[in-house]
Amino acid sequence: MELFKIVGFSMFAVFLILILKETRKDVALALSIVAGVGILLFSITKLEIIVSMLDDLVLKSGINKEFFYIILKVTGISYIIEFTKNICVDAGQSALGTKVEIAGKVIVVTISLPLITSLITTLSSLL
Amino acid sequence: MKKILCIFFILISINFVHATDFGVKDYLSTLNSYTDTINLNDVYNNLREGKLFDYSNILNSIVDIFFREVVIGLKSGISIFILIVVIGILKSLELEKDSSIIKIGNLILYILISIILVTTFKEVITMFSNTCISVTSIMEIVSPFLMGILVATGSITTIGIVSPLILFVTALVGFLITSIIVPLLILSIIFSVIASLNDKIKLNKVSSLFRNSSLFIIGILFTIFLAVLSIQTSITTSVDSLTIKTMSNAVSNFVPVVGKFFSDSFETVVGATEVVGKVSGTIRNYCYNTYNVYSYC
Repeated sequence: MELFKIVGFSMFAVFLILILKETRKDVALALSIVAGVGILLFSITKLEIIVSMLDDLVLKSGINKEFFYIILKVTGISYIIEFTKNICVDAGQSALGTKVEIAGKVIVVTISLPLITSLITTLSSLL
Repeated sequence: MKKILCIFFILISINFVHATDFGVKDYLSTLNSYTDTINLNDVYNNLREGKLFDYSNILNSIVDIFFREVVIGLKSGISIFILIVVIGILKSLELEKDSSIIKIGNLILYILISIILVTTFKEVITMFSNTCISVTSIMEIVSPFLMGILVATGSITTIGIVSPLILFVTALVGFLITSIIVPLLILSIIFSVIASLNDKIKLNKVSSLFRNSSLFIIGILFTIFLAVLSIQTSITTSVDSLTIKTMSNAVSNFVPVVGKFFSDSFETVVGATEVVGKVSGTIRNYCYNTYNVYSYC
């Protein structure tokens, strides 16, 4: 019954934030961030099943496993960066959010460098 | 003189074959590298001793030999399919549609798919050029012997006109395919991969230019080749229209990419040779009649 856990948790958090918003705005903001992180962490445990299924598929297809892990890493990083950026924007710091995004882009490109070099080597081996 | 030379060559070749025990052992060991499941030496020994060889493996090995590339293509197709399934699952989990970091992720997924495609393409194109080279070299090796056999059977005029021309044209076509068309196709693939990496770099037209020019050259080569072939057939034997129709239809339907070129150019060339043949027949008849008339006078 993970669904009801999440629904109950988020409903509780929302009501608490609504009540606290009138009196203590800073605590309400912190609470919303903490609740968001909690929900994300909860969903990560479920993500493991999907990843193991995809791992099985990739093993059957015979694609290079390193490349698949790069894809997974890129997707995960883009989740986390997107999430952090949203929190920054919610807290009213959209300038910081853009910087987080730029840092995420740089990290993604650094991780995917082996893929790009392998594309270039395959293309140049054609000639 | 030509006849004597050819007989001389045949004698030399027979001597050469005798000296190496018909060359069968070497030939079989060369062939064995291409057949994994059958040991051709065993088959040879069994046949020499009068035993029958095992038929059951032959079909499997034939399938293995002729469909090896199909299997490679299928494998890469399946891996691309699985990759697309993976990408679809990962995409359905995304937070926002137009996020710029997700665009970079898409680019990387695209790079992975294009790596698989380019690797498969490389295997196909190396197979293609190797086949072209070996067919040309076999043609170059076999043609002198065929010429010798033709001389031995008595058709010396055919040898004089046709075979050097056909030899030249086969060598030319093989050379042009390996040295011009294959590089053009590779360039077109490279440019199309680069063009699809980014929307702002527009190289699609360059890629299609290379592809179209390679197709154009293939068409011209086929026309020349067919012209030479059909000149030969119009000199030696007649081609009836039913054969032409059947062949052009079959070729245009079953041969991919260049089949249409092939059948069109074939029809044009055969039509032209028919016209030439009819004209020459009329002239010959006219000359024959006038000669007869004069001789009666």
